[in-house]
Amino acid sequence: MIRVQHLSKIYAASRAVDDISFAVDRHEIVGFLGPNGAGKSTTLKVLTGFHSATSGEVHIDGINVDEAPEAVKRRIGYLPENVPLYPEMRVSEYLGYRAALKAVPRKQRRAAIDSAMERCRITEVQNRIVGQLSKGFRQRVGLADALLADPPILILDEPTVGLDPNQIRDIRDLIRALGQERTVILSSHILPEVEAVCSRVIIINKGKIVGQGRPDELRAGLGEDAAVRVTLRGDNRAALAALQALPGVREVRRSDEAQQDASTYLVYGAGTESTELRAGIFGAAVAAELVLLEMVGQQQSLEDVFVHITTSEEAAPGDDSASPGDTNAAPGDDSASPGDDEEVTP
Amino acid sequence: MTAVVAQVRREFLAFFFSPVGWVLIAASAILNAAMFVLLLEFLSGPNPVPGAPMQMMFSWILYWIIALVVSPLITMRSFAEEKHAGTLETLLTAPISDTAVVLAKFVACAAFYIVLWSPTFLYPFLLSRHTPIDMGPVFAGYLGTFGIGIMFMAVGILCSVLTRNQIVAALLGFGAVMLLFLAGLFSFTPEVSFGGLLSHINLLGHMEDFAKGVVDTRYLVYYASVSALCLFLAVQVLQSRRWRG
Repeated sequence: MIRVQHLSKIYAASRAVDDISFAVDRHEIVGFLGPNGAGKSTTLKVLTGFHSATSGEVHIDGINVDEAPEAVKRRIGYLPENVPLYPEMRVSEYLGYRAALKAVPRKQRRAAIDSAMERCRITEVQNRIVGQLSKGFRQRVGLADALLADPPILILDEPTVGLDPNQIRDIRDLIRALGQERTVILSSHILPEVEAVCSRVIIINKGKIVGQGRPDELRAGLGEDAAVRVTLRGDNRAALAALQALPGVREVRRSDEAQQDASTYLVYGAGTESTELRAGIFGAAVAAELVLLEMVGQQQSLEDVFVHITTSEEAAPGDDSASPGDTNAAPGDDSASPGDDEEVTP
Repeated sequence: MTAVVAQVRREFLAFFFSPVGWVLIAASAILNAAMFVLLLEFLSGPNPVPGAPMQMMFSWILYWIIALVVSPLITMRSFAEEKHAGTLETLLTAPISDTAVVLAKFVACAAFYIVLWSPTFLYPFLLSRHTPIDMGPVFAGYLGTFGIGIMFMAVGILCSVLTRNQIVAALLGFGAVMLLFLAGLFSFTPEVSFGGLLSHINLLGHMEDFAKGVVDTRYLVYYASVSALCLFLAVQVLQSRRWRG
């Protein structure tokens, strides 16, 4: 359905997308995941024909985007980042205009608009002026616009940014439903979102694909190793040393959660059973005269994969201990999104 | 085709969705009326200049000052606003070609320019109650007014596609139409060696002919060529976003 081969996009000073290739099959929901400035939006702009690639090719439904941009555009419903809309129009007016622009036959226009508004639950605001709508409604107007011509492919750039949790759940449900009869590509820097909606994830960082697969595959790719979250009271350095000295421990990270005279560590095992690892940690804590306040076994989330993949390349060898707080992963904490505080400009 | 019609409709109605359109309509109606009153004052003064009032209006500098100021204000929004608001992305990812978008905006601006001038259609009828009016030269005068004005729209659209700032677009447009308008006047300065060439593009001179009822197709071809060139360049600039990034 969508085939991207050796796509690169070079802006004046930087390489926003660097030789990426991937394919998306019919009725797949693919999540494009990466920190801000990783090249997600740029890739989507090339897919939709708004920008063209510096090198490489994009085929949509077998058609080259550069050769027949309009034929490609007819097959795509696109929700750009930040949902630009004409603020002075009424919702129904705007959708009417967009439907005509997308050459929806006059007789079917009313029905197309009504069904798009219904799916996106904006029927009750159809007579409101777009500029006066809340962010959530505007987002849904943009989504309704993308659905108008009933395109086989939907490309959604950050579809849930700026929405409240209920709206996010609504949009996710909608995307999941849409994915049953359409091909969907969505970009996000929010992991739980991608994990909840997508059948496949492509992780992109600094313009390169650094990992792809089903969410469970990616998780497995990080290893079946157990991870344990442990909170210890006592001397930090002693605790870290004791944990690292344990047999079967691959990595220990200190969480930067603020606590009184206690610290939380994430201990990653290497070929160790979780129970065994926990027993070892308990023994080590006792031996080092540390007080064990809390210990929980962790299931690796996609977030771990993400943080692991997108930070492991940056950290130079031997530089690991310099900023343990920066590379802190917080598995199980659904609301955290590492992309949020990483402002990487393209 | 439906897409182009929809786009022209949206562009034209957009003038009426925003206060800019209404302010322009009011301002140009008032300024044109003031200009016309002033013209009639001159003609009915103690030493009246001989000539038909409509004929004098069309080639009067004051009449053109209004057009020169108003034209870039009509076109400044066309692309600059869409670039600024990001709506250009939504527009250009719809199944419509860049050329069709430029043409749609041009047609809408040209139509709005004609709307702005429509109150002046009353003037010959008002005059005809007091003096006989020959309608032929009046039609020719409007042909020139719209020919030149529509050329200004194309120039303004090119200026608007160059920037994301509407004020910059208006200033650029104002400079450009001023240059087009004044270039012909330099044909009277003996220092300019290509004065002969410039005399062909003297817009005020064109208007004197139109106002007499002489429709010289060379003038119309000139307006059409400049418009076509500007619109072609506007399409190129619009497409350059794809490889410039």
